[in-house]
Amino acid sequence: MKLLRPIIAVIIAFGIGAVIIWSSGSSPLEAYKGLFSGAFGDWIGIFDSLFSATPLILTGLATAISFKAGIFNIGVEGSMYLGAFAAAWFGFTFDNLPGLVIIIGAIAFSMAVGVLWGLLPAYLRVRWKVDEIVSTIMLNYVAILFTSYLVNFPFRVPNVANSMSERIAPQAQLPRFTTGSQLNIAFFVAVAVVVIFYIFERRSTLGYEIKMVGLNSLFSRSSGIRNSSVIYKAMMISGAIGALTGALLVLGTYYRFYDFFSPGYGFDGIAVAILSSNNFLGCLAVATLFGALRSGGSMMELFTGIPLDLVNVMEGVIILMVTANLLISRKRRAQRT
Amino acid sequence: MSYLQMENIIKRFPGVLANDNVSVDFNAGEIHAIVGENGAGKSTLMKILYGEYQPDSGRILMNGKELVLRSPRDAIKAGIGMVHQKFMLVASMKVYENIILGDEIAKRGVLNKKQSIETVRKISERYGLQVDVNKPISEISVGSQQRVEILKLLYRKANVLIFDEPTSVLTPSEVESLFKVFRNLKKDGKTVIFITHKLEEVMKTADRISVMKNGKLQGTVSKEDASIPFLTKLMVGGEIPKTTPRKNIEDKKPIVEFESVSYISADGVRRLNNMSFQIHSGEIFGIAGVEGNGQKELIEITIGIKRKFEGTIKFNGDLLNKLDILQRRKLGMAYISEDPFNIGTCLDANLIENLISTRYRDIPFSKGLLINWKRCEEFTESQIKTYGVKAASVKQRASTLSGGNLQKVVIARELSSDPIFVLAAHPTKGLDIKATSFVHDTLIRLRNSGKAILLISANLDELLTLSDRIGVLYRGKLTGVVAPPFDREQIGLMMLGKDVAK
Ligand SMILES: Nc1ncnc2c1ncn2[C@@H]1O[C@H](COP(=O)(O)OP(=O)(O)OP(=O)(O)O)[C@@H](O)[C@H]1O
Ligand SMILES: [Mg+2]
Repeated sequence: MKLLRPIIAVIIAFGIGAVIIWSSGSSPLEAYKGLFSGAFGDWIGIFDSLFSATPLILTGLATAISFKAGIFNIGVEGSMYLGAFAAAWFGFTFDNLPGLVIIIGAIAFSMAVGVLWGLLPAYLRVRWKVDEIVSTIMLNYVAILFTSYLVNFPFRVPNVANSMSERIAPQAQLPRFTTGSQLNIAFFVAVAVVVIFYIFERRSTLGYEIKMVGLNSLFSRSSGIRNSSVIYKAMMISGAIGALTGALLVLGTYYRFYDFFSPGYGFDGIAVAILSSNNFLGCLAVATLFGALRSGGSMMELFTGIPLDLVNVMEGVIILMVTANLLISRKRRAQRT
Repeated sequence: MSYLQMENIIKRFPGVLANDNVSVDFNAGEIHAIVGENGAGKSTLMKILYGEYQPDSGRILMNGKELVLRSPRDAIKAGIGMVHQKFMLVASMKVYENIILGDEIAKRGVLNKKQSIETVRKISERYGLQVDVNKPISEISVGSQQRVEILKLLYRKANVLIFDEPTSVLTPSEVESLFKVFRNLKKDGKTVIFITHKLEEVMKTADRISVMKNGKLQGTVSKEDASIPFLTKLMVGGEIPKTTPRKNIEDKKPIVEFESVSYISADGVRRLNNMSFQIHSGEIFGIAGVEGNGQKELIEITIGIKRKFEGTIKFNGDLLNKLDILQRRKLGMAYISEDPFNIGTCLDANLIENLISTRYRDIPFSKGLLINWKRCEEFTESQIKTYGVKAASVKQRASTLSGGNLQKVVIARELSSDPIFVLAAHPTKGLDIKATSFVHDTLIRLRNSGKAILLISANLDELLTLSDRIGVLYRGKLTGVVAPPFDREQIGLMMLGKDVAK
């Protein structure tokens, strides 16, 4: 039942996409053939799809864990920026260390920054009752503009047009699988995080606490669960995974920090979390679907001339349909005894 | 031919047959009570009549014509309305806004506020449903909220009014006025159907009584042919076991000590006023009082939901003021919440998750950071058996339990931790006769074994039978503490603020 809705949403999205393609005078069949062969047609296509999915898996998880605790956290984008810069800084500063040491150090440092960053909106919410939607949106600006300042002034690489940091040490670049695709170890790290989250949710006391606080905070509080401590912990994890997303992009894809590098991965994570109803395995599935759409979409654009924007429209339709469903079922729940 | 008939209704849920071929009819101008044990299928049957559930088979006839009720909307169109146990009002909106919500009298698209208020006022006068239409819902009492629910139905011209345990949330005087409203409705030719567990109420108010058991209708009898023992037998199929006699406790020591406790709410009102009392080991200390005189605040301060207050509270000699709920629970306090739907349970979680919420940190339920779900499940199974919770599986959501079974879940969890002190707020609300007697028995046995119990109840009979001493709460003050033999009339007067303590 739970799976049915997103699947129907996807089918309808493809239907609407077909109408748009058809009305612009192209053949939907040809376009979708391009899309699918781009996404799954050969090994490179599959690799590219998984590569595109990697940041979405992680931002989806980072968002879902806070949503589970009942915190409407929009701030994953911000923690990703800070995490990316932290990893880049570590990577170009300690460039004479062995590769593995830099990688582990950069990731650890980045996640530590993310943890601290996640604490901030949690503190504002717990201590001052500041709505986390507002605070995390504001903090996103702070994070993005702060990293922008860093690469434009103190850490600017002179004599290049774009603002960017130094390259990280070459031995710290995450290995790729083939020369034809950018897919790298980061994908497996993301899958490992999914597995860890999945086990964590089912087995750990904190997983149980997060679920209870998110479902009914009056119940959890009167049972003796410390809601605010659970909120802190959930937001720390969210910040850490958001930062990890940025670190892996720097270490595995860009090899440096670029000003405004993200096309909105953090916000995509919100869609991924909502579509999967905060289910961690669902995040993996939805992110992979989106990754496939995106990498297949660029192939479609290349071969049929239909712009990649179509994929955005289709994603939008899927999100709209599932969230509308969500609203309806929530209303039903409110009406029930 | 009767006005409304339900014919051969069958409704199955996963693992239970909630309604097993039920046929029952209702007349115009009658008050019809529905009784039966927790989980007998009463709410389910009424939700079918209100279009909330669709029966697997069977039909509903009104004036001999078949009614198809696909949703409550259809039911309201047919003149059938229902007041649920859990009210469905928008707390921040005003009374009249709640009443006309979704049914505004609009003229050229503009809401005619004056006219709708006038209509509401007329209805409320006609049936004796006093409410202040301009107050927000959050500021009126539970009894008034219920009147708003009734007004909502009458505003939509309901001829059949269904009430699911309407009296379980009311004070005795509110119950009286509700029954007056019932009689006015009846005089007007309307059909009143109400579910209850209190047979005295049934004998006082109902014209006919339908008894359900295990999903089946045991029969419908008119009041003249009924009696409390007869109905009990029909419901339970046997006698109710006697409760354990209370033992004399020799060496009593104070467990909970309140000293000059005052609480001022955020809006500056003094909700608790200089309260001092002690609860001893082996004692049930009852709190009597009209709802809204500080009970809620007393509960919240005792368990630690609110921690900003004046005065001191001690537990076994230790100061409690600074401790939070977890710390207090660790010291041996347990809390049976007054609201099983919103506080006592998590409706969207399963029974296991509901039963371990106070104990999941402890061995054997978890070790280090990992929960041992197998042990949790075994524990839940055994608790559910002990407390007679009717459930098909421990993995089902709490929301699928009947109201009374939900309350049993709360009690099963809270008493499982072997507490030293139990804060029991309305512990038998919504429970059937058998379960009520079981809870009473459990409380007395706890008392006999030297535990301390603070019992807050809207049911004076319950207080009189269980308490060793009763404190009467009026406007946040203890007007007095009385000991047996209790004088019902005296306590009644004290509840109204008269200082008549002997
Ligand atoms: N939505 C549901 N899903 C699964 N089972 C349900 C659902 N609703 C009710 N049941 C089951 O059907 C049976 C009858 O429930 P119902 O709520 O009608 O009982 P009731 O007579 O109103 O009891 P109570 O006096 O405790 O309120 C119970 O065993 C209950 O667990
Ligand atoms: Mg019921």
